[in-house]
Amino acid sequence: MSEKTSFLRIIKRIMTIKEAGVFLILIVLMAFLSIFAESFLTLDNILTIILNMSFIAIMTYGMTLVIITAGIDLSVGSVLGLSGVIIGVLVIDYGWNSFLAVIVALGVAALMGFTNGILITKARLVPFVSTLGMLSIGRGLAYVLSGGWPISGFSESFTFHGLGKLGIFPMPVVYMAILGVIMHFFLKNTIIGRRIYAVGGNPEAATLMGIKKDRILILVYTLSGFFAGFSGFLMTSWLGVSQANAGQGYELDVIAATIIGGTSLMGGEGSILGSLLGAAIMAVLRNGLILLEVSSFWQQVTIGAVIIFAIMFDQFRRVRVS
Amino acid sequence: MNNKNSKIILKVQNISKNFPGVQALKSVSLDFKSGEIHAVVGENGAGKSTLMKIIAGVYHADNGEIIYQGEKVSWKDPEEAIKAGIITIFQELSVIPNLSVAENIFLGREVLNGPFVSFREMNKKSMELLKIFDLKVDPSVPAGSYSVAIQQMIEITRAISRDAKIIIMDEPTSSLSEAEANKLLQTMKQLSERGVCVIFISHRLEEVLEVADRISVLRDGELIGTLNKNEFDRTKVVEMMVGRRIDQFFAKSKHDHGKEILRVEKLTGNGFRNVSFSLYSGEILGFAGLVGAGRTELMESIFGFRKITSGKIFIEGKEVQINHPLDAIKLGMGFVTEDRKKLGLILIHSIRENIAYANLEMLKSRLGFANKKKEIELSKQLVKEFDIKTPSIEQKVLYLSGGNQQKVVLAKWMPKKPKILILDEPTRGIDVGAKAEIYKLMNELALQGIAVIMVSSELPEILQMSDRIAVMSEGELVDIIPGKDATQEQVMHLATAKRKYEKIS
Repeated sequence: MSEKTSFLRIIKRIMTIKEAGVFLILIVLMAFLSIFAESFLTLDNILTIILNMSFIAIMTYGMTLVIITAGIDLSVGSVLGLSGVIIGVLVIDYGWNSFLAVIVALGVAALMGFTNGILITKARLVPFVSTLGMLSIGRGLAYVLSGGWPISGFSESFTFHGLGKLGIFPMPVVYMAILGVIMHFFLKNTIIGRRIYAVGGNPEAATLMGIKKDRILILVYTLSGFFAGFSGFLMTSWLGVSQANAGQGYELDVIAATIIGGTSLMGGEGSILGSLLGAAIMAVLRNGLILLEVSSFWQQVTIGAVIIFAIMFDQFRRVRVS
Repeated sequence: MNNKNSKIILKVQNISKNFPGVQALKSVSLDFKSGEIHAVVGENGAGKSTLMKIIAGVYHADNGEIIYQGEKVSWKDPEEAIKAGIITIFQELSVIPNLSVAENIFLGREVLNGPFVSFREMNKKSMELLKIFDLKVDPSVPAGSYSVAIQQMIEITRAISRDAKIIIMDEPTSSLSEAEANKLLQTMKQLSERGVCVIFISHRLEEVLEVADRISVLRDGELIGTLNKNEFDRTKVVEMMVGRRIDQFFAKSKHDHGKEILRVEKLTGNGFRNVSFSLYSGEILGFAGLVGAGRTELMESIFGFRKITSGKIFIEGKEVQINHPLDAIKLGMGFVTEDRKKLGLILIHSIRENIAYANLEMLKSRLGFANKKKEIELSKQLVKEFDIKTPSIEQKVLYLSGGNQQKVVLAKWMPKKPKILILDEPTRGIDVGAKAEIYKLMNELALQGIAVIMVSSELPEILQMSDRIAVMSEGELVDIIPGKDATQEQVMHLATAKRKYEKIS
């Protein structure tokens, strides 16, 4: 009996680690797929999965911060598209140096996020409304700038960031890893990162502790815009084309990955590592469903069900722990 | 009025009610008669609202019986009580502003013509009802376009249209002007003449004495007594309200008056007007007053959490601008909020995290990063110093008792070595033992030379702890009296002061 209770205690202990639940889901999912889909557990396929997840994962870095403050950013997919189009227009149409073009695109993306932050803190719009508006504005601007046509003809030095490899790893994966480590450290170990949790946990109490809430909120939306822009840069480089419709609907995948990763929509809780695992679950699931030859229509149904299941599981875990 | 002969409509017998940590009502027995205005008075937390909520079916009593119209009843929910004719007019209005007056009156019981709502019929019926109170109100206009006072009348009209036998009014005049309040008191009399039993809760003793037929006094959840009209006497009521409580656990030391550290001149903001006072290092300045007197608003404004419309703040003689709590903190202030769960703590985070959030700058490493080691060290030290009972510093504060939560709120300010500490209702909702510890801590802080402001609605606490007592009433600072000779009656008189006191200060 004592063995049983100590076993239960260990399980409970593991369950109290936030990311453990998500990790467990990922492992179970991968175990299932390695049994039922032959080609799943191959190096090539795994590398494909992590390449596919990288664009979403990088956006979750910003989204995680936003959702920790109990906000939401619906504009990330559009900002991704706009960023790609800006690069295309500047490099191809105007012959800019691509490095400079990327800097401008990231600047504009961050500015879109900054605008969200200002609208939310100063004009007191709810995040949903402000970022919904920005979703439309960003996408619209992308079409205006590109005229709706795809822009291609990038140099190899530019497409290297999407298509190149470091060792066996595709470059987007390398960026995902580097940025992930930086953001994880930023959130957990810097004063600003800690303040993001405080503001999300209880904005009034945080203010009364002397934390400037508005600045924190503006920062997280700016970062969310920046990371969406960065993903736009990588995607353009990977595809070798900038398209106004790139990243359409991505906001839902990014939000789903973030909350599957254990970031609470109520604010105050979440982590970059969790979101990374969430993005991995989404990517593994999509990949697995393709390998299992599930029709793309049913894939959508399945993904929706998994999102709901993952969040129910997380809530169940939370109730258990408390 | 014929209340002597009128029959008893409602009887509560031996009603008790416990909430975690407090016994809100202790075996209260009371009767209410048709056609009377029965005032229920008492200090904050005396149990008035709890009793009313039990009568109205919002809470269930742990013990005791409710006998309504001769029958024992047990309301499942408020709806059942309303259907039986017991209607509460709440402090916060429940009028829906964008629906018309008539729609509000007949909400949930719309007059139908076949399957359709008959607005004409509803307007006509509303008109008749509104006539009772001589109200010149157009029933087809949105209720929100009328003043708060009229909206209240609309609610009362709704109650009457539902054939109310008992109307409970919880602080109905608190948001009204004097003229409007008088009109409402008039309406109450009309209601009682129609045979309705009006149960009236108010902090304004003057209006209670004027309008009530009987007054029942609650204190600490117990019924102290019921006075008939011929026994009414202001002093007596106040005495019954405050009582004589022996609080042997208060440990007060004498504090020497230090130098002036904070001065506030003619401060005006939302909820308070023209407040001026000085605060000296090493003293405890108590702020007494009733709920809604503007004390919390004043303190939150001094701390930069709310906006000030006019007035000046001086710290150590220098005028300062405080636009954000961060400014106040930098000037050496600390603030323990009234609502620790909503404003004082981040409940879902741990003790360590809460302490760290208030001290991140101080705790950073040489490179400017958050330093968990230092956080753990500081948290352990504070947990020990303040005797916070917890299994670990990583415990979420959500799971601590009220007293221990309050100690965390207090402890987190200490590393900053504040010169001024504002404590708003520091002992609300915590048990006696923890209270004594908080008092002890306050004393120690004052002895260290910290200037302490304590806002409290508990008179014994104010009297025991304060070196000086500032009394506020309806947004104004009525007077500051020495704590040494002050009596509960004296403070209560000032706190319930009518307008004649307002010119002082």
